[in-house]
Amino acid sequence: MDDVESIAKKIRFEGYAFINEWQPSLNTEEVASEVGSILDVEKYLPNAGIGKIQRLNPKEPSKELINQYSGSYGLDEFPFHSDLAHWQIPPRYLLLRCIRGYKDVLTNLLPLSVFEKIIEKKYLKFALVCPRRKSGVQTICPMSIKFKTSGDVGVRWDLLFLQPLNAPAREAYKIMLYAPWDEKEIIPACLEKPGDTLIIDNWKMLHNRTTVPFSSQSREIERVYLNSIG
Amino acid sequence: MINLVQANSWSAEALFSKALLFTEQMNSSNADEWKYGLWSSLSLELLARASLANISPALLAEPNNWRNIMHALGNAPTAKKFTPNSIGTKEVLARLSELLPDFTQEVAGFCSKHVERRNAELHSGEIVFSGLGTSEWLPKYFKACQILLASLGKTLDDFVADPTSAQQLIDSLDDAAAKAVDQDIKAHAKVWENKEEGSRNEAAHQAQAWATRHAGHRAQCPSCRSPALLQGSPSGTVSTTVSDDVVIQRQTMLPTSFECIACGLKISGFSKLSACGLGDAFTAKTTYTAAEFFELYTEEELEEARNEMPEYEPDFNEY
Repeated sequence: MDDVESIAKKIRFEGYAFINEWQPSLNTEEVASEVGSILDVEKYLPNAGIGKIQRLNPKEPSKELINQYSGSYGLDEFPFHSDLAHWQIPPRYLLLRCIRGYKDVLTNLLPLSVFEKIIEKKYLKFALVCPRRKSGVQTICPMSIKFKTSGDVGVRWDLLFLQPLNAPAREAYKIMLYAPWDEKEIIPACLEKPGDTLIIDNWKMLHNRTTVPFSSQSREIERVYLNSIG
Repeated sequence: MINLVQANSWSAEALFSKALLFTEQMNSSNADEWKYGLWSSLSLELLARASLANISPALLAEPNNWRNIMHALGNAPTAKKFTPNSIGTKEVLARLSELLPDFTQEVAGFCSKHVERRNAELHSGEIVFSGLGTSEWLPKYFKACQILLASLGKTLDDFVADPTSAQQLIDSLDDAAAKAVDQDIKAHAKVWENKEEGSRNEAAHQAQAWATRHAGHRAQCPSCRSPALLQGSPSGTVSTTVSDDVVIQRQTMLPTSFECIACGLKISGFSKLSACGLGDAFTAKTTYTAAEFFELYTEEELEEARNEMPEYEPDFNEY
């Protein structure tokens, strides 16, 4: 599966696509431009120093990185989340490309259908969250975990960057903290070889990164967000 | 460029979510508490604003400053010390009356009245919602919510935890047959007046003894003024208060039936009860001991413990 049409179809129906060693001679921006329309983070966060393509390396936890997952979780397993869930409209897709990978560090995927099964309808429908903190002149408004925009439905989930605002959200948080899913329901993806590319529908799948062993700390992944695919 | 990061506080989504938060606060109180009414008025206002914003957030902008429109459209302020201003709630309701066909003058009138109650509650020393029976406003509140929710492509199911009870309250507004209960009340009142005074006194005395609190909710009979009983069905969440010795649970009850043993008047169904002023929600209170509630000990175990005699050495002088 190398052509954009097949990739787009797979993502549409399954929520993700994994392409082994896809055009390793191309850089991440070139590959991303082939498959979809890049979301330039710099345009939305001009003073944050975050580029269009982000380089991800495992890091020890530290106070300096408090605005990042590594700051809190370090080399431990990241909890399941959707990226930039605290944005009003989170990016639709994320593309992860292996620069230097290891077979013992996985990116796990949790489909929306499993998430909806775990969090009862009565909580999901009424759960409201908001960004955990305000930066600058940002306006904080309550947001539904399940949102609808441009005629499509998505889910935002982040135990760290979002805080629950009401009882249904607090119940949802309690449920997710105990990892109540069956291991068989998780889809593992291993970005091991240069060019291995994982594209995730960020509205329909949660993802995480497993623990990084000492021997795999030089892992390097590049990430870019996409507005659309195909 | 659509602002993906920053929430627009005047967007239909943000306003609806806030209305949902306020409705949750409403439901955390019992229906006969003043807080219930106050939170309902706040959630209704936000729902109305969400409906108007759904047509266009620009409709919420106070027109005296063009920057308000820019804010409504999700743009960052271009002037220092700018604070966006939106139109007042009365204007929101007036615009909705014109823009939403189902938002009739009658519905707008109720919403306007409810907002006035809110203003009085917040800006004066009067506890407006205390003593205001729910039958006077709750069905109309849910009807207004239903219309506004429909304009957002939503239903009561998306807004309240107990949409079935809410729908029953809305249905009671249109129940023409319920108004016939007046005839029934008058008929019983006539029979009561025609009784001898001695009979009336005896019946009233019996009713006094019968209508004890633990058998239902006491209410005054509209026909003969004797103490009578209302029964209800539970609605909404149960609130639990735990103190040192007791656990008290309270739940809102919506009246379902009425009975007076003095004059024999019986009324069944919320619509009829509401039509004759007996439709106000009441609170059912149940008190448990801590042991009962947390199932610490059974009665048998407690009885056994009481009956256990301590083991002493038999009395014996010096040995």
